[in-house]
Amino acid sequence: MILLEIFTWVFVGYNIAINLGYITLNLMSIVSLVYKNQENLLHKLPQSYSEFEYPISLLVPAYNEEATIVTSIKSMLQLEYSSIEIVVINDGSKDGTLEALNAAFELKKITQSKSELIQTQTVRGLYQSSQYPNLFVIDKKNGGKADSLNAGINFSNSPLFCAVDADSILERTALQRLAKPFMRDPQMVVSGGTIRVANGCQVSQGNLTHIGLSTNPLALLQVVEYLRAFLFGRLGWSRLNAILIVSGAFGLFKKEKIIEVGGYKTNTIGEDMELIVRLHRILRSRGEECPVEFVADSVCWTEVPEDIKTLRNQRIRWQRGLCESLYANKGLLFSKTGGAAGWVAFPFMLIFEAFGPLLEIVGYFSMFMAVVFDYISWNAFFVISVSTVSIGVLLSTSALALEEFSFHTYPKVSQLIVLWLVGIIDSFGYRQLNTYWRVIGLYKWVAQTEAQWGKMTRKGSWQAKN
Amino acid sequence: MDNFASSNVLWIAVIVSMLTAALTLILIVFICLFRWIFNAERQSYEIFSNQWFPILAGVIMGETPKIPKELNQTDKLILLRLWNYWHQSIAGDASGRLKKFISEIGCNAVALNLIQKGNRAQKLLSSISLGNLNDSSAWEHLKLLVETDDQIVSLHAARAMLQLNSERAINELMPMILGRAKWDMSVLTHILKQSRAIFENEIIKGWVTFDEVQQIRALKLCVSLDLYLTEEMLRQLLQINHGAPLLNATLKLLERLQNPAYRLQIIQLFDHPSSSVRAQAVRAHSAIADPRDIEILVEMLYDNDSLTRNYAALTLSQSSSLGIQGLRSLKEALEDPRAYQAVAVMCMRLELST
Repeated sequence: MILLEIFTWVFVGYNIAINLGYITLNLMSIVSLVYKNQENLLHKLPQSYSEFEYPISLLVPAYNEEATIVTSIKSMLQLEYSSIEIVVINDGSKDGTLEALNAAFELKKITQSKSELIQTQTVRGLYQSSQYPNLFVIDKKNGGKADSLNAGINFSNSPLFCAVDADSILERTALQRLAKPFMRDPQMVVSGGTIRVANGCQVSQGNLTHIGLSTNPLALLQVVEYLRAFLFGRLGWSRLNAILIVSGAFGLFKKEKIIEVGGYKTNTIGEDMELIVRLHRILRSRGEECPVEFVADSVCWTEVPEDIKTLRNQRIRWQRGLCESLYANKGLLFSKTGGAAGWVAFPFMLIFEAFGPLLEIVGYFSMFMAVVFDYISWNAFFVISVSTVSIGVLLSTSALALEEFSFHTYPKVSQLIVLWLVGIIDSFGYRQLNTYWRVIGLYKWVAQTEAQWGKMTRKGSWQAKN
Repeated sequence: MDNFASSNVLWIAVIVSMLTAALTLILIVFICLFRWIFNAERQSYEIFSNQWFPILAGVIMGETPKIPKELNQTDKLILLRLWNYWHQSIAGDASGRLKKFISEIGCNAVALNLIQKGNRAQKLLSSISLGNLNDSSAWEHLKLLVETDDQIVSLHAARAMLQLNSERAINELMPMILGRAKWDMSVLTHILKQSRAIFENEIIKGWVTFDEVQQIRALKLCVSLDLYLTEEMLRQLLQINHGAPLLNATLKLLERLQNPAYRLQIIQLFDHPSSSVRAQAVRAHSAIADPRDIEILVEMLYDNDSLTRNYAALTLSQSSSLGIQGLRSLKEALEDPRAYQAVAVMCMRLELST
């Protein structure tokens, strides 16, 4: 019974701490967005600083992306940016990815000597588009996403590179906005943008033509989840310069610094997070600054899983990647030079994101046992559950409020209502399911079972067939 | 049961639930409010701009405008936003006519009022507008804004001051231009571009009074504005006992200058303890290398820093006295695999280009 009491108290304490953490992040995000809104005027004036824009290489790793690759590249070719090269890295695809690229962009083989700054799998061929001289394709042996990005870094000619998922659609001004922190602060190392859910939207000729919501409940739940993660998670951490994750789907990096720290690690499943945590650890230990900024109004749209199996695999992979990244860079935790990244974000991630799911599962179980053994009454159980759920609903509503305050992405009121209702449903099953998958991810990391990316089923249904 | 459920925790849970429910309701009201304000603002902006676009276009063409109604403060603010966009998009007489028209209808008075009493967004709009309007009565208000901690508003106020009187502004703002590290370098370069000569003059005049941090920033601005310092200053800056950041900034400027007069002093820096200085020195030396430097460049192929080795190999590959045959022979003679790799890449490049 004492053990039960301890577990119950730990669960309650954990809930209080995590929610206080989220509420603090939320408040910081509000301040950031208020400032951003006040500066909107500047975005509406003619942008005359293009001569100072750093050239950027867009690196697009593609593995079996036949369904979506052409539309994504077309979208990237329309980006508003003065100097850009697009490098697609075909990572030994087994489908017709290379053929689709060849048919759409008339590729011709080129020879270019490049020093191998980071070791990668063998490059089988280099191609350049006859229609778009700034579009290149690297065809290489399969080595995973991190290996593909490293090959892209070796090939790229620009001081900055942007890692973009092949199934993503960037808004036309996305890159311009993402590059701003680098123009403002020459020390900037990474900037990350917002990822939004493209399921339910329509894309034509590489442009987002209609913003809608998917009818698939899993996709809808992820819309609210992404809003929460980006609008008050990363925005809040950004104010503290303590961002430990920049989505692998859309981030801009200073190439020189990435090469200095050894590029992407190929033996981890969460290469995007691992790189950011490693950058913080290495650069800070050298006494250098490591500014990482989140740019909320730079938006990338991506397809999310619509079936349980794919979503489960994704979440297990994310959790495992998180644990691997934190463990590999444990030197950052409470290090003298760690700053907010080492003293606030790292412990937060460790307690609430890495081990949190385990605490939560144990908590649910001990609460249930407490009711069964009459340690607490059903009424008490109900009240505590309601308070936990109500905080979840509050946080989802807050994310929607921030979205409406700053971006007005969803044009119809009905869409907002749907998202709010989804934010309520989220606490009844979806959150618990996620927690369960994350515990599996944690177990797989502890047991060191073989890591697999799993198959992401791309429907590409949001893309018009043209 | 007594320990947990009947304790105060239950009450706290009830209170938390009620509080969060109340906050959620408040947020829902805010969401509705945001949507309503957004729609209302968009609608009024559309109506206003539809009405005023032809008028402003007429002013540009030299027509006498017919103002549809008495403008209130909100209208004047929208008009200022519209006008700033037009002003920064056009040039010449048309821009002058628009500026005169905006002053005549009293928009500058609104901007002058808001620069003192407005919120942050209004202060930003007012600073930009008063600079574009060349309203010199705003000088002191702008100066106060420049001194605030707000990086964005202060930088745009500085821009406005430069538009009003560039010489006086550079004179008064120099400590901030060189001291405020958070002022966006690209915007700063853009706004100083019109006053390059004055800025160069002030930099040279005040150089000895600047501390090292200010000198580094001044050198960076010189690079981005394509300005140069005097030979005496540059020679003094190239002393090997200076710190890496100062030397790197100086070498970047010299890389652009490409003046063989500094060759020997740059070569001296090949021995600097900082790898970044050695790399930057070899890079700056590249364009002014002399056949006599081959020996020292070969020595640099053995440097511990890969960037330095690569720049040395690059310079050697560009040497006309060495040529591709000489480079191949050199490659074969190298025993250090890292030096060999650096030259091998350059050989490959040369072979491909020929």
